Amino acid sequence: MLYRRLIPKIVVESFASKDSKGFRSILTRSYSPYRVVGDPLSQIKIQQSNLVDEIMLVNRVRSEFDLNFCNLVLQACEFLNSPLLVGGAITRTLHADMIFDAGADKIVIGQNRGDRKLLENIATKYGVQSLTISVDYTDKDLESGFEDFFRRELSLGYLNLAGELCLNNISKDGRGEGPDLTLVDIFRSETNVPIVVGCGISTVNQIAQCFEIGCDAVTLSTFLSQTDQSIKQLRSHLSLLGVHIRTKN
Amino acid sequence: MIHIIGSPSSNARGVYCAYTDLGVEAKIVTNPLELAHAKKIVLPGVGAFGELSRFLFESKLNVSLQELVESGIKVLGICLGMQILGESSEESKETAGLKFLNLESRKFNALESRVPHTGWDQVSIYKNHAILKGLSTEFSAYFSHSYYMPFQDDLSLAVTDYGVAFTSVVAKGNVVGVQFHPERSQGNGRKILSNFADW
Repeated sequence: MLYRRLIPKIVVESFASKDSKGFRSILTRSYSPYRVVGDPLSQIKIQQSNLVDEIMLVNRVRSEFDLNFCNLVLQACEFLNSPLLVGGAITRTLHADMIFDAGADKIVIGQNRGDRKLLENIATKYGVQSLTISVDYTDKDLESGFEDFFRRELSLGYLNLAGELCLNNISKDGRGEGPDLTLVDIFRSETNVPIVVGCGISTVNQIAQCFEIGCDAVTLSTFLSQTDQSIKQLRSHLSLLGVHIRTKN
Repeated sequence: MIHIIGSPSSNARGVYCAYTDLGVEAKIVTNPLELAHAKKIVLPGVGAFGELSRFLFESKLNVSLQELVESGIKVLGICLGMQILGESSEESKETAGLKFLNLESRKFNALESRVPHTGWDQVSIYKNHAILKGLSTEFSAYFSHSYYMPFQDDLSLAVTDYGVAFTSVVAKGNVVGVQFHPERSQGNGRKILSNFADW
């Protein structure tokens, strides 16, 4: 039986000053930069030392694919012994090729999930298991009802090309008020791919609730940076709550 | 020296970095000539069966691998790289495997389990083998696949239960395969890669 997964999500943005340039890891609120938290490679090393289940590395810039971002992936893969999921403005198969070539195990497509041709090309080459679709939405998208939103998503035609679905209510991102779980059931009724929930998680009980309603994994960003909880501690707490979670390698 | 087959869709780099991290010399290769002095070969995972099969047959690596295996060179297949060691796969019926193992890969039943089988799961050792040296009889590893090799008593070294008991480690002579990703399975995975280097 598969273990439930805790996935630290490391969001990065590029920076350039007169002394240096590169990527820094940030916290976001509603997907907008909120606070700089440090060096992404150091953060990945810290998570790896906690024997993390998987790491999600996302370039926040959504408008244009950044070739330098591939170098960051490349550097991370030099020491990483955990699975790596990578996303950030992947709009062409070539971008996916570059990310996989740099050492990623899976890629995330969010904004371009309606580009069926792109998804088909990636799925044919790398297999659907390598493709995570990030369903990013806001409270506003749900104003006409979540069934209506779901029908619109269904019409994009990505469900049979997804190896995993990541449901993210952007309005909840970075606010710690708990994740939006309203879409889990409706997506589950149409597809049997693993479901990941992110955005807004701030307590162990919220994580346990995600697993209770059938999510396979959760992504954690602000929670890990703003509290004294580590993945190791979370695992112990969740295990005590009866969650089927990996507590040792 | 470990020679890693770098098919266009593989995560050869992940395996390369894992071996480098272990202090074992490794090289990514893409054509038969580079295998001339190979002693240990890894066929990494990630990708689709049809694409990998076409790459191996068009590059003639299939012929080299056949000759090398017959001469006693050891081969480790990872994930899709393990499935390609078999006869064929339901994923791409028009393309063939390398036929080192008399097994066909089948698709998980999405009505019974979530597909793909993605994440960390238990591996239960069924038979001892040099590749599994130092591992507990039950250990966890990272999987990411939609197709599996069924359990076969004479070939399976370890099994994982996911609605169906499938082969998670397989061996026949000097050919071994693991369905999970040792390069991403932390300490347990590193042990397997190290065992292969020492085998």
